[in-house]
Amino acid sequence: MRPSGRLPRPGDDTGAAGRIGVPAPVLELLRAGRSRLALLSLVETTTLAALAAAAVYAVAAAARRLLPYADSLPDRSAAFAIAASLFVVGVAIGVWRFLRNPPALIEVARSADRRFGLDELFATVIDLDRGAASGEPDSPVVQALLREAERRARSLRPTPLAPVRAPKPAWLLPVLIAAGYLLTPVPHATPALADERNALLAASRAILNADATDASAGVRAAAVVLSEAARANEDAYLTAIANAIFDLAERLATGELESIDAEMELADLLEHVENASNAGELAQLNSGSPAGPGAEAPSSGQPAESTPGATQDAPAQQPESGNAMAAGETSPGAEPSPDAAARLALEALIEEAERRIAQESENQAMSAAGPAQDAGDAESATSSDSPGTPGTPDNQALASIRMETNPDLSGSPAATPGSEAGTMAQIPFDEEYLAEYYDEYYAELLAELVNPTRMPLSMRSALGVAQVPIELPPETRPTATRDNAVTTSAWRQTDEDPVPTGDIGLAHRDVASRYFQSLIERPEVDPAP
Amino acid sequence: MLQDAIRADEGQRDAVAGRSLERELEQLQRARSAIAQVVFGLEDVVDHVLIGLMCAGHVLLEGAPSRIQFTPDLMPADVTGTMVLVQDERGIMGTRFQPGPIFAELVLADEINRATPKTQSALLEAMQEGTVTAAGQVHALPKPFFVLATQNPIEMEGTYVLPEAQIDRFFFKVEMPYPREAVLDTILDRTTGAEQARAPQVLTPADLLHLQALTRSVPIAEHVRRAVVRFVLATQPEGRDTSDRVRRYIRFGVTPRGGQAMILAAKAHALMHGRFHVGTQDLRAVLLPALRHRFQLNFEGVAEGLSATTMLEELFDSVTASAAR
Repeated sequence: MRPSGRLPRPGDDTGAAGRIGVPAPVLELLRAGRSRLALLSLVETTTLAALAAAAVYAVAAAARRLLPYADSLPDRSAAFAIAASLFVVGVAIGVWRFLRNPPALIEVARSADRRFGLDELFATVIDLDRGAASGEPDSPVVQALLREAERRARSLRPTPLAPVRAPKPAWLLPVLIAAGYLLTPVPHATPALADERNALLAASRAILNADATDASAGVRAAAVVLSEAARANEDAYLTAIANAIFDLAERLATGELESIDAEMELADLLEHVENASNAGELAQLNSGSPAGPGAEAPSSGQPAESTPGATQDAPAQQPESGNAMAAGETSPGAEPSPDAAARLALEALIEEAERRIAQESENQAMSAAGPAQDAGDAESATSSDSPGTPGTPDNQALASIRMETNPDLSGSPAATPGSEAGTMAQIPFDEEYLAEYYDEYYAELLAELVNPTRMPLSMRSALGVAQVPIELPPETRPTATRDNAVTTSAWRQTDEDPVPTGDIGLAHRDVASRYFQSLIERPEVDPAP
Repeated sequence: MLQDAIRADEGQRDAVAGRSLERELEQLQRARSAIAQVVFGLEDVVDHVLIGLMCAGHVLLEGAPSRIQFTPDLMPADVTGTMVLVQDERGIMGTRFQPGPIFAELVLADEINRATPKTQSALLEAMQEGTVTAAGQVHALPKPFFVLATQNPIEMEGTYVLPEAQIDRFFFKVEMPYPREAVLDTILDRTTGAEQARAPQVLTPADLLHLQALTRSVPIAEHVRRAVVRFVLATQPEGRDTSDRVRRYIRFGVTPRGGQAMILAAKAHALMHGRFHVGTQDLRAVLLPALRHRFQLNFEGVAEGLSATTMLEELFDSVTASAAR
């Protein structure tokens, strides 16, 4: 007697000839098991694909953390896109492989035998059915075997056959995701950079709104901004530069320093600012710390009190500074993007400072040119070789150009047709010089300051190198590694010494920082070259 | 004669088809119980002998001797039979084959290794073909034909070790352990009393033939069969994929007849335990009795103190484990 409830002929389902007719409960159990195996395979494939994607993302994040200036590394969104693509491709491959080669019923039967401890019961039945095992369908032993298989199949559930659970390496997934999130530098650095830019924007507006008649005010405002950045960054180097700019403003205000000299000195100091800013950005990105100059944005009430070396009246001379900063912070909708706004603000800041210095120079030049013209002694004015002396050709040219570009000065004596200053204003050298020096150089410099990632890798690698022309004894501490080695040749003994660019590396910043820290402790030493 | 045997086989198959499987298995269990009345503490040995019976295979028992039947002066004709001169009713002299003691359904060859190789070889044809050839005539042995031989593992002086070709004819080689204390006590009690225990007859020769046919009808899954093939090949020191250990320490591996014995014995083992298919556990259970006499260490292996049975078990476990993956 045949067991009851058999499916007629499994045929193509098992790849069998259907010789004996597998009992229906056995077939149902095995088919359900096959479906669960498919689901399990999908879960495993998905997990592995997710693991691979998370690993790729974490590695990319770690690489960007370790090599923040490597332009070839993918950024956050690119790494995410790569990981997502990997995940999708992995899942697709898994599904394709399963659909292309699904497990045969005999394999499911063997798996069921192992799982349920049946010692090849189902596998023997399936093999008999597909002719892989010899046995007469009407044999009493085969009939007894089928009855036994049917009885066991009725008592079994397919769930334990292929329990759907995450594969063992799945525990790595949250670890990799957490690592990728924690190692990603961009989300942490962006707010700090935005704060810094907003602070600079607000401070520059304050300068623009400051008293336009005082040339030293712009310089002092720049010093205030710089000292705030130095304080927030705890950067002794920047602090020393800010102090030097404060000192410059004081000397300019007291007349101790001529405008043309002040302009040159300011340019030198701004060069230091460039290096210090780049170094600060680099240090921030290297450390991964979100703290930056903008982490504590300058508030209206305390712009410079805590800055070492800052003049006591600096805050008092910037009454609009706080208001402008507040206005800048409370009306973000009226501002352009942070990058562009900060760049424009800094450009305006420096241009305003230079404009005021130039205006002082013009005033001085015009006041000096008047008596000279009255005396008819033009030769004495042109033969002077002191670049800072009022009335020199350079200064007259500057004044002329300023008058041309500034209609407010059109009524001044220097713009009078036929005057000597007006003739000198047509010298093309000055135009070229100004255009190159003020526009291109500062525009590029400021763009790089605002967005250091625009700098080429070689320039970033050379940050801090040779921009501090100071006389220091050679570094004596043992510096073994290639990156922080400081050689004797790295130090400029005089201003004429060539600028080293190759073998100092980032350690130079630390040395310079210690040097300026010592200057703060010994203020009688001038940090400027 | 051979055609008679074939017809007998076909008759057995028809008989199996008409019989109740449950009845056959019940008879088998009754036979085990009956033997247990007179054989104590040797359940495994009894099972293995029964398996040999179910598979129509001969069994070589190795253990302490019970009695001596084979002797060095035993001649082949003493076993197989010989041609004798006889006179018919008309007074004409002629020859007639006088069957020897091997013409029985159950032959007990006690201490077979005491007989000379010539006499031992007289058993080859009988054990393998189920026939005896004398004076150019083939004489079929009765069915079932079953040789139960014993071999004394001690007192090796004056014995003749069975050659490999002959020992391969034995389906099983069963080692008989010395009885434990409780078993020995039972033996002494039951065999020294006034009444001797006697086993009732449970199986007739026809029943045995039915059982033998039934055993052969037990199916075996393809991958299990292939696992046996891989295992047999893995024991060959000259094999292509043989391990270094086997190459170094094995004198000869399992013969094809060993693989047959293994599967057939596993079928009988499954049937004895109420299963109708061969599983790995059945193969494992019959591994040693079916193969221990077909797998020998070489001198280096013996010198290293290795055990052939342990190596067999290791090889089998590794093959079945890889097959399960």
